[in-house]
Amino acid sequence: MSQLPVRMIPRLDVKNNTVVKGIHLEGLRVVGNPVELAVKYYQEGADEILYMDAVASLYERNSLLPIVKDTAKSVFIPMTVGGGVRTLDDIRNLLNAGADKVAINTAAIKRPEFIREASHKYGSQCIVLSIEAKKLGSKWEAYMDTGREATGVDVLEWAEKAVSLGAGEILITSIDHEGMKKGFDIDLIQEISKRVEVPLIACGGAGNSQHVIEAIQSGHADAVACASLFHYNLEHLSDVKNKLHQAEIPVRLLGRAA
Amino acid sequence: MSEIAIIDYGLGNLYSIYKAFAYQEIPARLTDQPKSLKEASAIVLPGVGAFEDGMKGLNDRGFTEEVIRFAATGKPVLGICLGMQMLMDESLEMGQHKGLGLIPGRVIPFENNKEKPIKIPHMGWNEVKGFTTSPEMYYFVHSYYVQPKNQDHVVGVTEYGSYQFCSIVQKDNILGFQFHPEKSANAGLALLKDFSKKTQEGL
Repeated sequence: MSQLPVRMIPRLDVKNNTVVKGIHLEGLRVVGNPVELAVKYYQEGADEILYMDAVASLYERNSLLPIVKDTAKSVFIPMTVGGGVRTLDDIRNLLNAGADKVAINTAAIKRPEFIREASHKYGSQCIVLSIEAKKLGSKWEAYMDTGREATGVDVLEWAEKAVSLGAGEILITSIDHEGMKKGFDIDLIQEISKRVEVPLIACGGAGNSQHVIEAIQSGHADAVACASLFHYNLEHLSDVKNKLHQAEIPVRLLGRAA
Repeated sequence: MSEIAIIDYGLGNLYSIYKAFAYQEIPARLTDQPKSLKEASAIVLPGVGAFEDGMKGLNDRGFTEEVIRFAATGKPVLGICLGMQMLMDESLEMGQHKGLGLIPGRVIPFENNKEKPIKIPHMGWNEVKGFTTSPEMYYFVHSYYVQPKNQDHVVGVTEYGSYQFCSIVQKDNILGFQFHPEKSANAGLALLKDFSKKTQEGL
């Protein structure tokens, strides 16, 4: 296909070995077992799995290693893992456990050169810059520590800079829209996709398939990460993909060849 | 013991490939011992990263000669991603580097073109056409692709932008996938299963 299918990515935020979901990245509620959910979404046709350690930066570690390793035994699609990725060793350990990409936020904001070092060592294709954005007037400010701490960094400038340092993909989460199920921050997605050439994963706000379609058609996202939409079964993953297909958005459909 | 040997030459994530065989109860093991290839029923050459680093990894660990010797026995050899590219004569990735020379041809980069711009690396799910009646999607991550000298060795092709490149290459018992079967859900697992059957029947 000359245009690649849009990827649908269930996002699993993990705290104490449990998938949790909040609103504006706070007020976390228990959703279920990470490996079981990953397997379920894999079987339903997810194109990729996104694991985020919800409290990693707080404890200065990523505790997802055993979960990633367990997931890799029965989930055969790409896995991206973020939260508390601070050193080259952290990246190596996650890749060896079966992850394909790592998502980096806090460590990159504290020291942008980390993006350069990581992409040089492991290749840009496995370094995802994760940005948590909060609207501030007509701009957006980047947050770190899972939306807890403002940084004063302008989101659009940061996205451009990180790509020039070697980030191979951007995961943009709107803190304002996150968990609200009222649609994405389309302006934010649009502004970033205008500025960078690397694939863009839109996250935060999906409550139905129409929201997903807007993020792709108006925002020009290359992939969409959803949590509430799938965790609360607002719409089944395969139904979302079928709706995208009907809207003439290229997707990977299951069982087409059967 | 007749097992598939997955070559560990210090590059890339071998865990997922190993698990993709294990999940399907196909006997496979990781090995960093070149001499042990003799006992294998088939070998898998995985790999991500730069061509030069990959060949250096094989050379430094003494794998190059053993892989070529194994291929000459007629037993199945599967190269995945960079592993597929290393089956060729040479690569033009950052200079000019010699490959294993098991399939004639070379490895060249994607280049952008104004009429049909593409994102490089080619990363994501894409169709492979040619080797089954209905195309299936597999997961790709690469910036270079193989160009076999002999068109008969092109078994599957994939379109990207204005490109139509070789995504499955085969010459007799030597097979290569540009995509990652271990990350391509059921379609990818099925290809690994087929490969394991070939270890009994021959390719």
